Amino acid sequence: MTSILDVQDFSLDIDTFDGTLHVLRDISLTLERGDKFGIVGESGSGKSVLVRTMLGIGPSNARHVGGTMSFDGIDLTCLDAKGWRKVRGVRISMIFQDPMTYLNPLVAIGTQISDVIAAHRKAAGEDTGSKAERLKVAASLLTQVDIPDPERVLKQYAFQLSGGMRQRVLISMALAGQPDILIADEPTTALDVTVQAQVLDLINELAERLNLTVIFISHDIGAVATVATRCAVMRQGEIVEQGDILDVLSAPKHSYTRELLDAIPEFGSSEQAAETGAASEAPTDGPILSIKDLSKQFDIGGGKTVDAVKNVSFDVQQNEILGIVGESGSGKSTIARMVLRLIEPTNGNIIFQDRDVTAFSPAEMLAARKDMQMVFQNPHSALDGRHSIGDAIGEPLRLNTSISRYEREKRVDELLDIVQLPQLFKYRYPHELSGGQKQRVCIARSIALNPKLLVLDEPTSALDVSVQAKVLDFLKELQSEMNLTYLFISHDLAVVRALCDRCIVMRKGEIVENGMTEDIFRNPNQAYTQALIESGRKTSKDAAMQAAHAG
Amino acid sequence: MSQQDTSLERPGFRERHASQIRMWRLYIHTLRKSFTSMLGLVIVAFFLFLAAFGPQIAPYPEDAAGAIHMSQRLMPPSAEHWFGTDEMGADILSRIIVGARISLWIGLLITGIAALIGVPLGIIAGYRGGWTRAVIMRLTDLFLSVPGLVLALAIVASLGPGITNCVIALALVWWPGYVRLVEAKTLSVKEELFVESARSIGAKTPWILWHHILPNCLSPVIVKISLDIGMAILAAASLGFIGLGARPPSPEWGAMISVARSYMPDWWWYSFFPGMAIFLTVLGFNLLGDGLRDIFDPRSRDR
Repeated sequence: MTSILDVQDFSLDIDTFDGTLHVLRDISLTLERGDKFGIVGESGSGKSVLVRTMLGIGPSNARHVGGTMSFDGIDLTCLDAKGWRKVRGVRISMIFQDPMTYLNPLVAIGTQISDVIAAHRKAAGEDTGSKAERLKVAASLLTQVDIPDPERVLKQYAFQLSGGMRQRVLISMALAGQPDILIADEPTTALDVTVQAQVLDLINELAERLNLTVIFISHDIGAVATVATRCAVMRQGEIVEQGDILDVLSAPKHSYTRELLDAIPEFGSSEQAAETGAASEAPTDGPILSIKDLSKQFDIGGGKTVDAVKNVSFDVQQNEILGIVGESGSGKSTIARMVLRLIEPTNGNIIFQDRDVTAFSPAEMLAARKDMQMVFQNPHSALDGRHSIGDAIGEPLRLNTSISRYEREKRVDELLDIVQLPQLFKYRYPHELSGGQKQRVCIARSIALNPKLLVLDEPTSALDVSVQAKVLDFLKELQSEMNLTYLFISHDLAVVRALCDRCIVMRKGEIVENGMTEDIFRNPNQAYTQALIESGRKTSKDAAMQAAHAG
Repeated sequence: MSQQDTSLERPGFRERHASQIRMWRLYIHTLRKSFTSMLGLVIVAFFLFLAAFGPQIAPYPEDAAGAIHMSQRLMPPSAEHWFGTDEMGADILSRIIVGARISLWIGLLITGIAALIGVPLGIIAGYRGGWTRAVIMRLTDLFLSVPGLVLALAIVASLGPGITNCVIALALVWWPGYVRLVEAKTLSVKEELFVESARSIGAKTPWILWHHILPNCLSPVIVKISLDIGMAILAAASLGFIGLGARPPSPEWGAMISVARSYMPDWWWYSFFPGMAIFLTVLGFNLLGDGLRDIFDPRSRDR
């Protein structure tokens, strides 16, 4: 009995301008039929390159330098285009991180799936069959991935489907060739918590039902644990630890694995609850920001409007961290942008330090912006690639103060110290920095003018879990040091619970729940909040441990 | 002690500019990998050298100014006159070398003026949108819908022939391309998060345009300028050829061919060598432009 996938001492180099990069070093792993294998690692650890190489879609400038990789007796390292056609998509198939970019926006879903079926049949040397017949097969595939009303979905286009539905469609396409191995490359990272839980359940169920061998890749060890029975931890192109998921989770051998595990925000622990509860009892000096009946309607053409935010009112107290939680489309980012008047509200008032922001003239607004600043979701695009880090951090000083160049340089150095980055970084450019470093730069930029209120719009959702933990710790530290007030927006409940004193749950532009974070988490009033918390708990560490024990 | 302090405060040049040094090394590396880009660079550098030192290196510099040697009219290429002589007995090689300055100057001036008009209009159209954009873009379309050279012809005809008028006319028909290019680029750049981020720290529109939008639009503009210099030289030579550009005895290449036309085909060298000069410069700028495009390709930035 041979193993279905056998990788021994596999190494891969990529030649770049800066020299040779050892992307994969001595990778060894063996998969038996029906195995569910997880690969955990930060971005840049080589996990995606590894699975793409298994599928023959690795980086084109990569060089195989040693070791073997064989699938069911076929040597994958020296396969030609013709040989790949019999393996890729047919016997090994893959689902990707961002389902939107992997679907053709101009072609109906049904046609896309039927094309995949036709390609597989052609590769197998069979007759491709009529399109009507292929559409029937496609419908049955969609039923397999729990899509209600498959006939309707077949006629739709990618933009008409939600993120979760798109990922299901991709899974159904991956299953079209009845593969032996299904590779899932961060399939849930781009999805909301509730949807993420559903997709993970689906992958689990399909693996059982179709006896699939699954390779599941994620930077989130919690998500991996819900699917995999065995896992490998990768770092800088090497597997640092490999074994039973339960062993890895409960008794990590490598210090890096421990680091990764510690980074996951706790979901259910009660000690933390006590801590945050105490912090919130600190005396407050009245609201710094109060929002009254705020609404925003967007024109979507044809005289139609969409209510992004509907009559929302809440207060933010001085020196507190207020979280706004909700799925994508709940209007939370719109609120953040309206507070800073990056978007004009349709209705309602925003009272900041006893003055109505919505009535400000442009000049008054400029002055007020010194006191409230925003940190954006994606640090990779929030920094101008043509400005050095020093220029980026100095920009708010240049715009709002008239201090000399020398003083500005000094202040930039100070700010770099505050965000714990080396001062030499001011001569670097954004593309040379990692995601976590870039987000620190963004934070330095936003605190340059000593603001009182910081609006953080999903500041960690574009970052790896391990980096996220460091940024969150830092944000907490910064808040108490500088007496800041945070309006913290996130879709991640664990993060909100770890950071926020009070929180607001939003759904479809309305506030569903508003109260102390702990109260909401312990006894949610609304079914929606409950559902959110349940799905969040599913990928938490504790749940993973339990699932591993049960399995 | 104090020595150490200053070194701490101000790191060395190499450290401060490590990013730029690496960037330039990467540019050179990319350029050197491609034979055609290097060829373009060599050709352009060669003609730039001719333009800079033409009068010093030309064997008979006085011939370029219109000296007449009736004894040596229309002599074929020889050891004394590598490219032969023209109907006035002037050395064609010298005239071509000295003419390089005129041709390159024309090319640079036309594309430079066109970019100076086109880039700001493009940025304003793309950033402002609405009415402003409609007006600017329709005006651009109007210019683009008339064949460029024909329009330039009409302008020169009304201004009167001459090198200055020729440059003005060509610059006037050249800017719409830049508006198109920059407007499209601005539309995508202004949606970037860093523009919103700049607004949130209190930047006003002019600041955003100058510090964020313009630098991010510049690389395609540089590529287009490089490609256009060749085309502009060709267009100016065409106007010279039909007698609307530089007037003989100015050693402008197009004007030289224009006169040489009547000496074809028996005295072939008279039109052949100026033609080759035009051909080579246009080729050189085109190859260089392609090379620059590879360099500025965003896909090569992350390496």
